[in-house]
Amino acid sequence: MNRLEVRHLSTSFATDEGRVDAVADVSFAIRAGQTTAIVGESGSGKSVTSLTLMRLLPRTAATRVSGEAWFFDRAGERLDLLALPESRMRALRGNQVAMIFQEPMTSLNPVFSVGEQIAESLRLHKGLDRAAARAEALRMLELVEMPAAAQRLDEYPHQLSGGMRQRVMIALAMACDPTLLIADEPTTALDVTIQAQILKLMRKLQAETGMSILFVTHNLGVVAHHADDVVVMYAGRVVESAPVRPLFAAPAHPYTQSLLACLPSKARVPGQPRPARLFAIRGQVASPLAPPPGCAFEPRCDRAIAACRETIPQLLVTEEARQARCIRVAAALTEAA
Amino acid sequence: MRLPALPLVARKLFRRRIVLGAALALAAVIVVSLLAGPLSGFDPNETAVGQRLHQPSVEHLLGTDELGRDIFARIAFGGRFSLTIALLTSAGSVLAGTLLGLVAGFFRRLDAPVMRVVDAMMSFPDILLAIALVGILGPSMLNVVLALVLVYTPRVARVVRASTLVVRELLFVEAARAVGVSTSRILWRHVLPNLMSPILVQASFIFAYAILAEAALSFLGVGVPPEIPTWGTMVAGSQQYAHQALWIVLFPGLSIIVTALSLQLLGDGIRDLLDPRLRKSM
Repeated sequence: MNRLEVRHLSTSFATDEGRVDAVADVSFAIRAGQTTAIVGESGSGKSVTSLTLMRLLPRTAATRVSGEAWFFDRAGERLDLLALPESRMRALRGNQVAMIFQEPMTSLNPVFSVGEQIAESLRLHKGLDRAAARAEALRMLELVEMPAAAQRLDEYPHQLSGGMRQRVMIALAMACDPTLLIADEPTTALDVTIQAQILKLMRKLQAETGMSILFVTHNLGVVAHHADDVVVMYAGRVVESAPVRPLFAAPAHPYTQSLLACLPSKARVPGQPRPARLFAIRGQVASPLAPPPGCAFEPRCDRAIAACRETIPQLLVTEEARQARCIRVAAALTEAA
Repeated sequence: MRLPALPLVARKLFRRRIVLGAALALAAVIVVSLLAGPLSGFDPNETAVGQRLHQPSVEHLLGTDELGRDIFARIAFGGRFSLTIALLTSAGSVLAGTLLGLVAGFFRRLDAPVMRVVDAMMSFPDILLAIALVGILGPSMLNVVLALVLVYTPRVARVVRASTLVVRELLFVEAARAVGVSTSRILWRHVLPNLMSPILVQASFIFAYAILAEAALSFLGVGVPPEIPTWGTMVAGSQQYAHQALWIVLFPGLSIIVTALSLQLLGDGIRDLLDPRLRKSM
């Protein structure tokens, strides 16, 4: 059973130089109780995808969104997040669909104690009174393993470390027991030990509550350990999607292959004392204002051929639950057929 | 919004001697105004023709004016009116200015219309606009307050708008939206409390400006009616006797200066305390 089905999602912004497609024709699904990771480098459209799903894009950017995002709520009702009236969307946000942001340092309001901020969500969605919301906020802080939770309740964000703030953000997101958690690079701003703790905490919470997670990240190591399904994005499009094990075992798209080759563990050659130089993908993401006519990855691809420059390849099903967008994949499929 | 423990803030604020001095001077002015009757022992409007223009003495601490009224009593009672006018002006313009600035800063569609009106009002010299307004409305305490509120509202609106523009873009506003908080609640509960420091600073500055402006308006005869003792009407009424009895303009004038200066210094102190760029140097 799926928790969320995104179909043909496109988001574009108006800029002075013309309309820019930040996300183009993205489709994926998140299974109930599972984690889907969206992977990609800066500018690949992964954050815009998550903000579009939450309907949190700034209205001022003359945003144009198309497609469907079917969310299956607690009652089993099927709702299109992109077409829901704002008032119903607001009732979902923080309640059934929650979000954690990348920057724990700035995503808490500096003038309210952390207890008040967690309580606000509870009072808003669950209609709890002040005392009950406070008690529940304390329970949430304990749930996210906040040290000295009772004391932290009345502290202000500036009194907490980055890791503790992210715990507060998670407590805030988990307060109303959401069925879908969108985590936009939740560990990027934290140091590595804290990252590991936060990720472990998120897994624990997922196991306890059975929520689904949409995990937006550029960290492949995190994806390997914590995701069930992976969607690789490049320049606003899905270039490959697959369950995590097959993807790491046999990446189909040259971009995914290059990304995996960038991992430090690949640079270590057995028998040699020092690892070889790290692999890096040459060049940079094409400007969204002037996208290449063909495959967006073609200018950086070592295996590009002339035909790559002609049209954008189709996203094709290669095996069960696997898709890739590459001319070679298309060729291999026709050969096999 | 819960303020951090006051004693610590106060200790930080008063670490600078001059700010402490200003606060004490202001406290003295307020206490004298509040206890005007028992302290002076005179009726501020009781004339005594036999005691015209007496110089300061034990009986009349600060002397008497051209109608033989006790100047200390008049300053103390006048302080009530001057401070009340300034307080109402400060409160009124902060209220109106915050509302305008918040709306203009938060809703981009309203920004240009609101701010152009504000700019137009700011293009008038303060005192000229106030004179014109009181001229139209007629001299009374309430009209002076109304005119000054209109003059100082744009000032607050600009500052609040600028700060709103900054706060609006901070991630916690988006985070609040992600929790399902409504726009109006975001505006009042999340943005406004973060603007308290600039608003507080503006309030204290406008308090000081209003004391000066009331005095200036009364001096020019377009302020409070002369029968009500304010520091402004006292200076205005007695100017022609200044060459024979300096004290009758000196003391009301000093009251204005001390109060306005103290408020300015206090406002500076608060601003320095709240401005993170200056905080380190303190």
